[in-house]
Amino acid sequence: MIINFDNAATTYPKPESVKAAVMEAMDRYGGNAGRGGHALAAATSEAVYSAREDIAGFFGAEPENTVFALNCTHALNMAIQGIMSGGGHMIISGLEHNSAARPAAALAAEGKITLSVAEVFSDSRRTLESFRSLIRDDTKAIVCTLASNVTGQIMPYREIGRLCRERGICFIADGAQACGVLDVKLADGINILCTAGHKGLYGITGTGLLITDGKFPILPIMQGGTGTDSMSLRQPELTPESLESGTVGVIGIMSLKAGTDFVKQTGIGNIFRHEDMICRRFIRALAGDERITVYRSPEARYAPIVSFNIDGIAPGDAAAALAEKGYCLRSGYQCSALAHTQLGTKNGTVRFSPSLFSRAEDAEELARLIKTL
Amino acid sequence: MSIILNEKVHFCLLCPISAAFVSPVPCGRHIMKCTATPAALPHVRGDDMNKCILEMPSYTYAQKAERLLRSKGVQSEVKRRSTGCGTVLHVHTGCRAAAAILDRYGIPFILRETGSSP
Repeated sequence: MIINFDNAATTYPKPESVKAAVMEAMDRYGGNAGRGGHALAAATSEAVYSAREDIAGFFGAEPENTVFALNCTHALNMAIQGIMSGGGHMIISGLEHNSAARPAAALAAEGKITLSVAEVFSDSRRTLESFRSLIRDDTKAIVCTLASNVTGQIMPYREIGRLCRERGICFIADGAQACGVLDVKLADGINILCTAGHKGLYGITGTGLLITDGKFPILPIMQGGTGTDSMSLRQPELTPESLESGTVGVIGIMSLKAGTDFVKQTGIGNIFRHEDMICRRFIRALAGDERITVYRSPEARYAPIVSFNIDGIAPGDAAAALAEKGYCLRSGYQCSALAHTQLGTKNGTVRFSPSLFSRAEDAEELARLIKTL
Repeated sequence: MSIILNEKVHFCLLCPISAAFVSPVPCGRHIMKCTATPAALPHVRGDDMNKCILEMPSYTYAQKAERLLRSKGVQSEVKRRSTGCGTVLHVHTGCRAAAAILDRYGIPFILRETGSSP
């Protein structure tokens, strides 16, 4: 028996339509997209474009500004390094995943940029003020997750977007835990949205997206073949090709198209309500055990993620004991040094994260089991 | 019409409607957009521009252009360039209209060949 409550890492199971799309891509789209004019390449290229167009529409973007990436980390690296290549000051939130924090810290360690970390509070107004107070004349970008991958806390991203627009700052958003459960659009004030394709969007692993409004040029961190202007040794300047050197992952892209179609058809609101209901029932079922700490505040809003600890039991030991019973949960730091530093969780946490396919009864059964540890 | 292509000039855009260079040589790395409005422009050298080939900066833009034109009733076809790498759009009829539409929607292109339909 496997019951997956580690969907914040990657969703499993995937919808049937996604599985079918993968098989169809294997059978029909065997060419190299954007290369060659023969029937196989043409069919593949057209399928990839259709996916690009659909996904762009999902986020209120243009197809040419929708870049396929390997994962969210890849997208964030492209965005952060591509925007900050000329130096300047950058602000990241205190809840950033290492996918944003490490490339930012690396640029700062090399002396290429200066970096500030904005403290995050349960009260959105204080968080916003924290960002505002760090802005300088040379602040070029703010990087902020839309929802923490540790606690699920939803950041005041529309307000941050507004602040960035007022100050001419590029807002790079990490949508890994938000896309598919929150109705995220570029119109929220996001200049560059980076997200995973294999989490709330239900694509397969190895998929990610960088979606830009085109207002801030992103210098490529990788150069190579793009299928265009091939006699020039200069990388094309127009997206998406400028950021998509090498063969794109056609099968993954088709899975991502099917995944976003599935989310659209199901309804983001319905998905959120279902997963949020499971989280609430899980938390309620944990209640009454004084040893258990749940990292949530009544002041904040949360994506469907619950981090908790059990006094006297290391997170890894708790997750291992639950794994023996078939429950899949993530323990440790969840690749988020900053968030755990801010939370003060020295050994990390155990993270519970449902998907649309999760059942409330399983969550309650899990909670009962946790109380027996 | 022809486009100057040499070592220094990669994309020197000839305005598809007015047949005038939009940007002076060298135009460098950027694709310059035609800024003229279709209504204000004269006929192009007596050519009704029924059909033409538009060189697109990428396959993505070619597809976007083809779908946009189709939605406006202009038929075109995405094809691989006959020489080298890249994508072109074959507009079978209504080249002037196609150029005007693409320009209006900010889709970059270079007019390659024109001619009347047989």
